[in-house]
Amino acid sequence: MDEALIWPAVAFVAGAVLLMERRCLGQRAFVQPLALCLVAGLITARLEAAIWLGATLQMLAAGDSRRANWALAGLASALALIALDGRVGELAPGDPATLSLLIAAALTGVAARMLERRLARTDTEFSVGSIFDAPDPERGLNALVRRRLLRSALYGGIGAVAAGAIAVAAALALVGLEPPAPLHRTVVAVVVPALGVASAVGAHSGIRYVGIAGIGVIATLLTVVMG
Amino acid sequence: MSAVRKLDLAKVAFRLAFLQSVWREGAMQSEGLAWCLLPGLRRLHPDLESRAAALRRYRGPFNTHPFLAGVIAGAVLRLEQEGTSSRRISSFVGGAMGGLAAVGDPFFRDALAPAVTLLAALTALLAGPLEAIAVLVLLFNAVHITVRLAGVRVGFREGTAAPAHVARWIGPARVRRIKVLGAVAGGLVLWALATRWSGDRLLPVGIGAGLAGLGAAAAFVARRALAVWLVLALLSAALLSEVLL
Repeated sequence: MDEALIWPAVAFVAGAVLLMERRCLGQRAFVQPLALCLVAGLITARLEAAIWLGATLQMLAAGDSRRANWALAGLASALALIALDGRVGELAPGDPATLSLLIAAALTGVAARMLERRLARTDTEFSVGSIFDAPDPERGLNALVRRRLLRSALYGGIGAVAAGAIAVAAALALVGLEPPAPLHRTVVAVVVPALGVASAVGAHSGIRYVGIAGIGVIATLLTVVMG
Repeated sequence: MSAVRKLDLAKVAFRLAFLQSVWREGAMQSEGLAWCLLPGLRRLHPDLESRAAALRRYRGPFNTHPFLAGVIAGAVLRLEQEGTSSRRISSFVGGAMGGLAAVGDPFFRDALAPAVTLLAALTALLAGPLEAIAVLVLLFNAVHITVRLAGVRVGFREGTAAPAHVARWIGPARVRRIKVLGAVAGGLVLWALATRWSGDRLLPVGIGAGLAGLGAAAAFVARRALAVWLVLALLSAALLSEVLL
Protein backbone atom coordinates (compact mmCIF):
# COMPACT_ATOMS: atom_id res chain seq x y z
CA MET A 1 0.00 0.00 0.00
CA ASP A 2 2.85 2.37 0.86
CA GLU A 3 4.48 1.75 -2.50
CA ALA A 4 1.20 2.50 -4.26
CA LEU A 5 1.21 5.95 -2.65
CA ILE A 6 4.91 6.70 -2.96
CA TRP A 7 5.06 6.59 -6.75
CA PRO A 8 2.14 9.02 -7.34
CA ALA A 9 3.52 11.34 -4.66
CA VAL A 10 6.99 11.33 -6.21
CA ALA A 11 5.48 11.75 -9.68
CA PHE A 12 3.40 14.71 -8.51
CA VAL A 13 6.36 16.48 -6.90
CA ALA A 14 8.61 15.73 -9.88
CA GLY A 15 5.98 17.05 -12.28
CA ALA A 16 5.24 20.14 -10.20
CA VAL A 17 8.90 21.13 -10.01
CA LEU A 18 10.31 19.90 -13.30
CA LEU A 19 7.49 20.78 -15.66
CA MET A 20 7.49 24.40 -14.53
CA GLU A 21 10.82 24.61 -16.29
CA ARG A 22 9.00 24.51 -19.60
CA ARG A 23 7.77 28.03 -19.00
CA CYS A 24 10.12 29.32 -16.34
CA LEU A 25 13.76 29.37 -15.37
CA GLY A 26 15.67 27.56 -18.10
CA GLN A 27 12.67 27.10 -20.35
CA ARG A 28 13.28 23.71 -21.88
CA ALA A 29 16.97 24.03 -21.19
CA PHE A 30 17.44 21.55 -18.37
CA VAL A 31 14.37 19.33 -18.22
CA GLN A 32 14.92 17.35 -21.41
CA PRO A 33 13.45 13.95 -22.32
CA LEU A 34 16.87 12.39 -22.88
CA ALA A 35 18.21 13.63 -19.54
CA LEU A 36 15.10 12.45 -17.66
CA CYS A 37 15.12 9.00 -19.26
CA LEU A 38 18.86 8.55 -18.70
CA VAL A 39 18.46 9.39 -15.01
CA ALA A 40 15.66 6.81 -14.82
CA GLY A 41 17.88 4.36 -16.69
CA LEU A 42 20.68 4.87 -14.18
CA ILE A 43 18.26 4.37 -11.26
CA THR A 44 16.71 1.20 -12.70
CA ALA A 45 19.77 -0.17 -14.54
CA ARG A 46 17.71 -0.28 -17.76
CA LEU A 47 20.03 1.88 -19.78
CA GLU A 48 19.28 0.41 -23.20
CA ALA A 49 15.56 1.15 -22.92
CA ALA A 50 16.32 4.55 -21.39
CA ILE A 51 18.63 5.56 -24.24
CA TRP A 52 16.15 4.29 -26.82
CA LEU A 53 13.16 6.09 -25.30
CA GLY A 54 14.99 9.25 -24.31
CA ALA A 55 16.91 9.74 -27.54
CA THR A 56 13.80 9.18 -29.67
CA LEU A 57 11.68 11.62 -27.67
CA GLN A 58 14.51 14.16 -27.51
CA MET A 59 14.98 14.09 -31.27
CA LEU A 60 11.24 14.34 -31.90
CA ALA A 61 11.20 17.34 -29.56
CA ALA A 62 14.01 19.00 -31.49
CA GLY A 63 12.08 18.43 -34.70
CA ASP A 64 8.90 20.15 -33.56
CA SER A 65 9.18 21.61 -30.09
CA ARG A 66 5.77 23.31 -30.20
CA ARG A 67 3.65 20.31 -31.14
CA ALA A 68 3.80 18.61 -27.74
CA ASN A 69 4.87 19.03 -24.16
CA TRP A 70 8.00 16.93 -24.66
CA ALA A 71 9.19 17.46 -21.11
CA LEU A 72 6.00 15.76 -19.94
CA ALA A 73 6.50 12.94 -22.44
CA GLY A 74 10.07 12.45 -21.21
CA LEU A 75 9.00 12.58 -17.56
CA ALA A 76 6.18 10.09 -18.23
CA SER A 77 8.68 7.68 -19.81
CA ALA A 78 11.12 8.08 -16.94
CA LEU A 79 8.41 7.59 -14.31
CA ALA A 80 7.13 4.53 -16.18
CA LEU A 81 10.61 2.99 -16.28
CA ILE A 82 10.92 3.50 -12.54
CA ALA A 83 7.40 2.18 -11.82
CA LEU A 84 8.01 -0.94 -13.91
CA ASP A 85 11.37 -1.68 -12.29
CA GLY A 86 11.25 -5.07 -10.64
CA ARG A 87 7.74 -5.74 -11.95
CA VAL A 88 8.41 -6.74 -15.52
CA GLY A 89 11.23 -8.51 -17.28
CA GLU A 90 13.48 -6.87 -19.79
CA LEU A 91 12.19 -3.81 -21.62
CA ALA A 92 14.38 -3.99 -24.69
CA PRO A 93 14.47 -1.47 -27.52
CA GLY A 94 12.01 -2.59 -30.16
CA ASP A 95 9.88 -4.70 -27.81
CA PRO A 96 6.11 -4.15 -28.08
CA ALA A 97 5.90 -3.02 -24.43
CA THR A 98 8.71 -0.47 -24.84
CA LEU A 99 7.28 0.84 -28.11
CA SER A 100 3.83 1.08 -26.55
CA LEU A 101 5.32 3.08 -23.64
CA LEU A 102 7.02 5.43 -26.12
CA ILE A 103 3.84 6.03 -28.13
CA ALA A 104 1.75 6.58 -25.00
CA ALA A 105 4.28 9.06 -23.59
CA ALA A 106 4.42 11.01 -26.86
CA LEU A 107 0.63 11.11 -27.13
CA THR A 108 0.25 12.39 -23.56
CA GLY A 109 2.68 15.17 -24.49
CA VAL A 110 0.60 16.07 -27.55
CA ALA A 111 -2.65 15.96 -25.56
CA ALA A 112 -1.16 18.11 -22.79
CA ARG A 113 -0.09 20.73 -25.32
CA MET A 114 -3.57 20.83 -26.86
CA LEU A 115 -5.04 21.30 -23.38
CA GLU A 116 -2.57 24.09 -22.63
CA ARG A 117 -3.58 25.93 -25.79
CA ARG A 118 -7.25 25.58 -24.93
CA LEU A 119 -6.62 26.90 -21.41
CA ALA A 120 -4.55 29.82 -22.72
CA ARG A 121 -7.42 30.83 -25.04
CA THR A 122 -10.00 30.77 -22.27
CA ASP A 123 -7.83 32.32 -19.55
CA THR A 124 -9.84 35.21 -18.19
CA GLU A 125 -8.80 35.07 -14.57
CA PHE A 126 -7.13 38.46 -14.73
CA SER A 127 -7.96 40.78 -17.59
CA VAL A 128 -5.13 42.92 -18.95
CA GLY A 129 -7.15 46.03 -18.15
CA SER A 130 -7.76 45.05 -14.54
CA ILE A 131 -4.01 44.84 -13.98
CA PHE A 132 -2.70 47.87 -15.83
CA ASP A 133 -5.62 50.19 -15.08
CA ALA A 134 -5.44 49.56 -11.34
CA PRO A 135 -3.81 52.32 -9.25
CA ASP A 136 -0.99 49.89 -8.38
CA PRO A 137 -0.32 47.63 -11.39
CA GLU A 138 2.74 46.22 -9.64
CA ARG A 139 0.56 44.45 -7.12
CA GLY A 140 -1.58 42.93 -9.85
CA LEU A 141 1.49 41.76 -11.77
CA ASN A 142 3.02 40.16 -8.67
CA ALA A 143 -0.25 38.38 -7.95
CA LEU A 144 -0.50 37.21 -11.57
CA VAL A 145 3.00 35.73 -11.59
CA ARG A 146 2.46 34.01 -8.23
CA ARG A 147 -0.85 32.50 -9.32
CA ARG A 148 0.56 31.33 -12.63
CA LEU A 149 3.54 29.66 -11.02
CA LEU A 150 1.32 27.86 -8.53
CA ARG A 151 -1.03 26.83 -11.31
CA SER A 152 1.89 25.57 -13.41
CA ALA A 153 3.10 23.53 -10.49
CA LEU A 154 -0.34 22.05 -9.87
CA TYR A 155 -0.97 21.21 -13.52
CA GLY A 156 2.55 19.84 -13.84
CA GLY A 157 2.07 17.55 -10.86
CA ILE A 158 -1.30 16.27 -12.03
CA GLY A 159 -0.04 15.89 -15.58
CA ALA A 160 2.99 13.89 -14.49
CA VAL A 161 0.89 11.44 -12.45
CA ALA A 162 -1.65 11.01 -15.25
CA ALA A 163 0.89 10.73 -18.07
CA GLY A 164 3.11 8.37 -16.07
CA ALA A 165 0.15 6.14 -15.26
CA ILE A 166 -0.90 6.04 -18.92
CA ALA A 167 2.64 5.12 -19.99
CA VAL A 168 2.82 2.37 -17.36
CA ALA A 169 -0.57 1.00 -18.42
CA ALA A 170 0.45 1.05 -22.09
CA ALA A 171 3.59 -0.97 -21.32
CA LEU A 172 1.84 -3.42 -18.99
CA ALA A 173 -0.85 -4.07 -21.61
CA LEU A 174 1.73 -5.67 -23.91
CA VAL A 175 4.26 -7.06 -21.48
CA GLY A 176 2.94 -10.62 -21.67
CA LEU A 177 2.78 -10.65 -25.47
CA GLU A 178 4.82 -13.20 -27.37
CA PRO A 179 7.98 -11.41 -28.48
CA PRO A 180 8.23 -10.58 -32.19
CA ALA A 181 10.68 -12.36 -34.47
CA PRO A 182 14.26 -11.20 -33.85
CA LEU A 183 14.53 -9.55 -37.28
CA HIS A 184 11.25 -7.72 -36.74
CA ARG A 185 12.38 -6.46 -33.35
CA THR A 186 15.75 -5.40 -34.71
CA VAL A 187 14.12 -3.42 -37.50
CA VAL A 188 11.83 -1.63 -35.05
CA ALA A 189 14.70 -1.00 -32.61
CA VAL A 190 16.73 0.77 -35.29
CA VAL A 191 14.03 2.44 -37.40
CA VAL A 192 12.13 4.11 -34.53
CA PRO A 193 15.02 6.31 -33.34
CA ALA A 194 16.05 6.78 -36.99
CA LEU A 195 12.71 8.54 -37.44
CA GLY A 196 13.68 10.71 -34.50
CA VAL A 197 16.94 11.56 -36.29
CA ALA A 198 14.88 12.40 -39.36
CA SER A 199 12.77 14.78 -37.31
CA ALA A 200 15.78 16.54 -35.79
CA VAL A 201 17.74 16.80 -39.05
CA GLY A 202 14.54 17.96 -40.79
CA ALA A 203 14.39 20.84 -38.31
CA HIS A 204 17.54 22.25 -39.91
CA SER A 205 15.23 23.17 -42.79
CA GLY A 206 17.54 22.52 -45.68
CA ILE A 207 17.89 19.55 -48.00
CA ARG A 208 21.67 19.98 -48.02
CA TYR A 209 21.74 19.00 -44.34
CA VAL A 210 19.89 15.80 -45.16
CA GLY A 211 22.61 15.14 -47.71
CA ILE A 212 25.31 15.78 -45.11
CA ALA A 213 23.57 13.34 -42.76
CA GLY A 214 24.05 10.72 -45.48
CA ILE A 215 27.48 10.36 -43.90
CA GLY A 216 25.73 7.94 -41.53
CA VAL A 217 24.79 5.55 -44.31
CA ILE A 218 28.31 5.74 -45.71
CA ALA A 219 29.76 5.08 -42.26
CA THR A 220 27.49 2.05 -41.84
CA LEU A 221 28.56 0.70 -45.26
CA LEU A 222 32.22 1.18 -44.36
CA THR A 223 31.64 -0.64 -41.08
CA VAL A 224 30.17 -3.59 -42.97
CA VAL A 225 32.94 -3.58 -45.59
CA MET A 226 35.71 -3.34 -43.02
CA GLY A 227 34.10 -6.19 -41.08
CA MET B 1 15.49 60.10 -11.20
CA SER B 2 18.21 57.65 -10.10
CA ALA B 3 20.21 55.65 -12.60
CA VAL B 4 19.67 51.96 -13.13
CA ARG B 5 22.38 49.94 -11.40
CA LYS B 6 24.06 46.65 -12.29
CA LEU B 7 22.16 44.93 -9.49
CA ASP B 8 18.87 46.13 -11.00
CA LEU B 9 19.89 44.69 -14.38
CA ALA B 10 20.82 41.40 -12.68
CA LYS B 11 17.38 41.27 -11.06
CA VAL B 12 15.74 42.00 -14.41
CA ALA B 13 17.81 39.21 -16.01
CA PHE B 14 16.68 36.79 -13.31
CA ARG B 15 13.02 37.79 -13.67
CA LEU B 16 13.24 37.27 -17.43
CA ALA B 17 13.48 33.55 -16.67
CA PHE B 18 9.80 33.80 -15.73
CA LEU B 19 8.74 35.84 -18.77
CA GLN B 20 6.81 32.97 -20.32
CA SER B 21 5.15 31.86 -17.10
CA VAL B 22 2.31 34.37 -17.59
CA TRP B 23 1.96 34.00 -21.37
CA ARG B 24 -1.62 34.05 -22.57
CA GLU B 25 -3.64 34.91 -25.65
CA GLY B 26 -3.91 38.59 -26.41
CA ALA B 27 -1.47 39.92 -23.85
CA MET B 28 1.15 37.28 -24.76
CA GLN B 29 4.37 38.32 -22.99
CA SER B 30 3.40 41.90 -22.17
CA GLU B 31 2.51 41.28 -18.54
CA GLY B 32 5.65 39.20 -18.16
CA LEU B 33 7.76 42.00 -19.63
CA ALA B 34 6.22 44.59 -17.33
CA TRP B 35 6.86 42.38 -14.30
CA CYS B 36 10.46 41.75 -15.39
CA LEU B 37 11.15 45.48 -15.77
CA LEU B 38 10.00 46.27 -12.23
CA PRO B 39 13.44 46.29 -10.53
CA GLY B 40 14.67 48.88 -13.03
CA LEU B 41 11.44 50.87 -13.01
CA ARG B 42 11.47 51.00 -9.20
CA ARG B 43 14.92 52.57 -9.38
CA LEU B 44 13.85 55.10 -12.04
CA HIS B 45 10.41 55.88 -10.62
CA PRO B 46 10.44 55.63 -6.81
CA ASP B 47 6.92 57.07 -6.53
CA LEU B 48 3.95 54.82 -7.14
CA GLU B 49 2.10 57.03 -9.60
CA SER B 50 5.02 57.60 -11.92
CA ARG B 51 5.90 53.89 -11.78
CA ALA B 52 2.32 52.90 -12.56
CA ALA B 53 2.35 55.25 -15.56
CA ALA B 54 5.63 53.69 -16.73
CA LEU B 55 4.23 50.16 -16.37
CA ARG B 56 1.18 51.08 -18.46
CA ARG B 57 3.51 51.79 -21.38
CA TYR B 58 3.98 48.01 -21.69
CA ARG B 59 0.36 46.89 -21.71
CA GLY B 60 0.22 46.43 -25.48
CA PRO B 61 0.82 42.98 -27.04
CA PHE B 62 4.42 41.89 -26.79
CA ASN B 63 5.88 38.64 -28.08
CA THR B 64 9.46 37.81 -28.97
CA HIS B 65 11.95 34.99 -28.60
CA PRO B 66 12.13 34.46 -24.81
CA PHE B 67 15.92 34.05 -24.80
CA LEU B 68 16.34 37.44 -26.51
CA ALA B 69 13.71 39.40 -24.60
CA GLY B 70 16.47 40.64 -22.31
CA VAL B 71 17.87 42.74 -25.14
CA ILE B 72 14.60 44.65 -25.34
CA ALA B 73 14.27 44.84 -21.56
CA GLY B 74 17.76 46.34 -21.21
CA ALA B 75 17.23 48.77 -24.06
CA VAL B 76 13.86 49.87 -22.72
CA LEU B 77 15.35 50.63 -19.29
CA ARG B 78 18.00 52.71 -21.02
CA LEU B 79 15.29 54.64 -22.89
CA GLU B 80 13.29 55.07 -19.67
CA GLN B 81 16.40 56.39 -17.92
CA GLU B 82 16.95 58.90 -20.75
CA GLY B 83 13.35 60.11 -20.41
CA THR B 84 12.39 58.98 -23.93
CA SER B 85 8.77 59.57 -24.92
CA SER B 86 6.21 56.75 -24.63
CA ARG B 87 5.60 56.82 -28.36
CA ARG B 88 9.28 56.33 -29.15
CA ILE B 89 9.58 53.48 -26.62
CA SER B 90 6.48 51.75 -28.04
CA SER B 91 7.79 52.17 -31.56
CA PHE B 92 11.16 50.66 -30.61
CA VAL B 93 9.56 47.71 -28.75
CA GLY B 94 7.18 47.00 -31.63
CA GLY B 95 10.00 46.90 -34.17
CA ALA B 96 12.54 45.07 -32.05
CA MET B 97 10.31 42.21 -30.93
CA GLY B 98 9.61 41.02 -34.45
CA GLY B 99 13.23 41.41 -35.53
CA LEU B 100 14.60 39.43 -32.60
CA ALA B 101 11.99 36.71 -33.01
CA ALA B 102 13.06 36.44 -36.65
CA VAL B 103 16.71 35.78 -35.69
CA GLY B 104 16.03 33.87 -32.47
CA ASP B 105 13.97 31.04 -33.94
CA PRO B 106 16.40 30.10 -36.75
CA PHE B 107 19.30 30.07 -34.29
CA PHE B 108 17.88 28.44 -31.16
CA ARG B 109 14.99 26.35 -32.49
CA ASP B 110 16.19 25.36 -35.96
CA ALA B 111 19.94 25.13 -35.42
CA LEU B 112 21.24 24.96 -31.85
CA ALA B 113 18.55 22.76 -30.21
CA PRO B 114 18.55 20.04 -32.93
CA ALA B 115 22.36 20.07 -33.20
CA VAL B 116 22.87 19.72 -29.44
CA THR B 117 20.16 17.04 -29.33
CA LEU B 118 21.88 15.00 -32.02
CA LEU B 119 25.28 15.40 -30.36
CA ALA B 120 23.81 14.31 -27.04
CA ALA B 121 22.09 11.29 -28.64
CA LEU B 122 25.40 10.35 -30.27
CA THR B 123 27.18 10.70 -26.94
CA ALA B 124 24.57 8.50 -25.24
CA LEU B 125 25.07 5.80 -27.87
CA LEU B 126 28.86 5.91 -27.95
CA ALA B 127 29.91 7.04 -24.50
CA GLY B 128 27.56 6.87 -21.54
CA PRO B 129 24.53 8.42 -19.85
CA LEU B 130 26.40 10.92 -17.71
CA GLU B 131 28.43 12.18 -20.65
CA ALA B 132 25.24 12.55 -22.70
CA ILE B 133 23.51 14.51 -19.96
CA ALA B 134 26.56 16.74 -19.66
CA VAL B 135 26.59 17.42 -23.42
CA LEU B 136 22.85 18.07 -23.53
CA VAL B 137 22.66 20.39 -20.56
CA LEU B 138 26.03 22.15 -20.62
CA LEU B 139 26.36 22.75 -24.35
CA PHE B 140 22.92 24.24 -24.91
CA ASN B 141 22.94 26.29 -21.74
CA ALA B 142 26.44 27.63 -22.21
CA VAL B 143 25.09 29.41 -25.28
CA HIS B 144 21.57 30.11 -24.10
CA ILE B 145 22.43 31.52 -20.68
CA THR B 146 25.27 33.62 -22.07
CA VAL B 147 22.93 35.17 -24.64
CA ARG B 148 20.26 35.75 -22.01
CA LEU B 149 22.48 37.45 -19.46
CA ALA B 150 24.59 39.37 -21.94
CA GLY B 151 21.44 40.46 -23.76
CA VAL B 152 20.23 42.56 -20.84
CA ARG B 153 23.63 44.17 -20.39
CA VAL B 154 24.11 44.88 -24.10
CA GLY B 155 20.53 46.13 -24.38
CA PHE B 156 21.12 48.67 -21.62
CA ARG B 157 24.50 49.69 -22.99
CA GLU B 158 23.55 50.00 -26.67
CA GLY B 159 19.93 51.10 -26.36
CA THR B 160 18.08 51.07 -29.67
CA ALA B 161 21.15 49.72 -31.48
CA ALA B 162 21.15 46.59 -29.32
CA PRO B 163 18.94 44.33 -31.49
CA ALA B 164 21.17 44.78 -34.52
CA HIS B 165 24.22 44.20 -32.33
CA VAL B 166 22.82 40.96 -30.94
CA ALA B 167 21.59 39.78 -34.34
CA ARG B 168 25.24 39.68 -35.42
CA TRP B 169 26.03 37.13 -32.65
CA ILE B 170 23.52 34.68 -34.06
CA GLY B 171 23.66 35.59 -37.72
CA PRO B 172 23.11 33.31 -40.74
CA ALA B 173 26.75 32.20 -41.05
CA ARG B 174 26.82 30.90 -37.49
CA VAL B 175 23.43 29.25 -37.99
CA ARG B 176 24.73 27.43 -41.07
CA ARG B 177 27.83 26.18 -39.27
CA ILE B 178 25.78 24.82 -36.39
CA LYS B 179 23.38 23.13 -38.80
CA VAL B 180 26.27 21.42 -40.59
CA LEU B 181 27.54 20.15 -37.24
CA GLY B 182 24.04 18.92 -36.41
CA ALA B 183 23.66 17.16 -39.74
CA VAL B 184 27.01 15.39 -39.33
CA ALA B 185 26.00 14.35 -35.81
CA GLY B 186 22.66 13.13 -37.15
CA GLY B 187 24.37 10.97 -39.72
CA LEU B 188 26.66 9.50 -37.10
CA VAL B 189 23.64 8.80 -34.86
CA LEU B 190 22.18 6.72 -37.72
CA TRP B 191 25.47 4.82 -37.88
CA ALA B 192 25.59 4.39 -34.08
CA LEU B 193 21.97 3.14 -33.98
CA ALA B 194 22.72 0.60 -36.67
CA THR B 195 25.92 -0.70 -35.07
CA ARG B 196 24.39 -0.83 -31.58
CA TRP B 197 21.07 -2.54 -32.31
CA SER B 198 21.35 -4.25 -35.70
CA GLY B 199 23.51 -7.07 -34.44
CA ASP B 200 24.57 -9.32 -37.30
CA ARG B 201 21.98 -7.71 -39.60
CA LEU B 202 23.98 -4.51 -39.95
CA LEU B 203 23.92 -4.40 -43.70
CA PRO B 204 20.22 -4.76 -44.49
CA VAL B 205 18.78 -3.27 -41.31
CA GLY B 206 21.40 -0.60 -40.72
CA ILE B 207 21.52 0.64 -44.28
CA GLY B 208 17.75 0.37 -44.64
CA ALA B 209 17.09 2.33 -41.47
CA GLY B 210 19.64 4.94 -42.49
CA LEU B 211 18.02 5.43 -45.87
CA ALA B 212 14.54 5.49 -44.31
CA GLY B 213 15.75 8.13 -41.87
CA LEU B 214 17.18 10.28 -44.65
CA GLY B 215 14.03 9.92 -46.74
CA ALA B 216 11.86 10.93 -43.80
CA ALA B 217 14.16 13.88 -43.04
CA ALA B 218 13.77 15.10 -46.62
CA ALA B 219 9.99 14.85 -46.26
CA PHE B 220 10.09 16.79 -42.99
CA VAL B 221 12.18 19.53 -44.59
CA ALA B 222 9.37 19.94 -47.12
CA ARG B 223 6.56 19.80 -44.56
CA ARG B 224 7.80 20.26 -41.01
CA ALA B 225 4.32 20.29 -39.52
CA LEU B 226 3.93 16.74 -40.78
CA ALA B 227 6.83 15.37 -38.75
CA VAL B 228 5.29 14.51 -35.40
CA TRP B 229 2.04 13.15 -36.82
CA LEU B 230 3.77 11.03 -39.43
CA VAL B 231 6.25 9.65 -36.92
CA LEU B 232 3.47 8.80 -34.46
CA ALA B 233 1.53 7.10 -37.27
CA LEU B 234 4.59 5.08 -38.26
CA LEU B 235 5.29 4.12 -34.64
CA SER B 236 1.70 2.96 -34.27
CA ALA B 237 1.99 0.94 -37.48
CA ALA B 238 5.19 -0.64 -36.14
CA LEU B 239 3.45 -1.52 -32.89
CA LEU B 240 0.47 -3.01 -34.71
CA SER B 241 2.80 -5.07 -36.86
CA GLU B 242 4.47 -6.46 -33.71
CA VAL B 243 1.13 -7.25 -32.07
CA LEU B 244 -0.61 -8.76 -35.07
CA LEU B 245 2.21 -10.58 -36.87
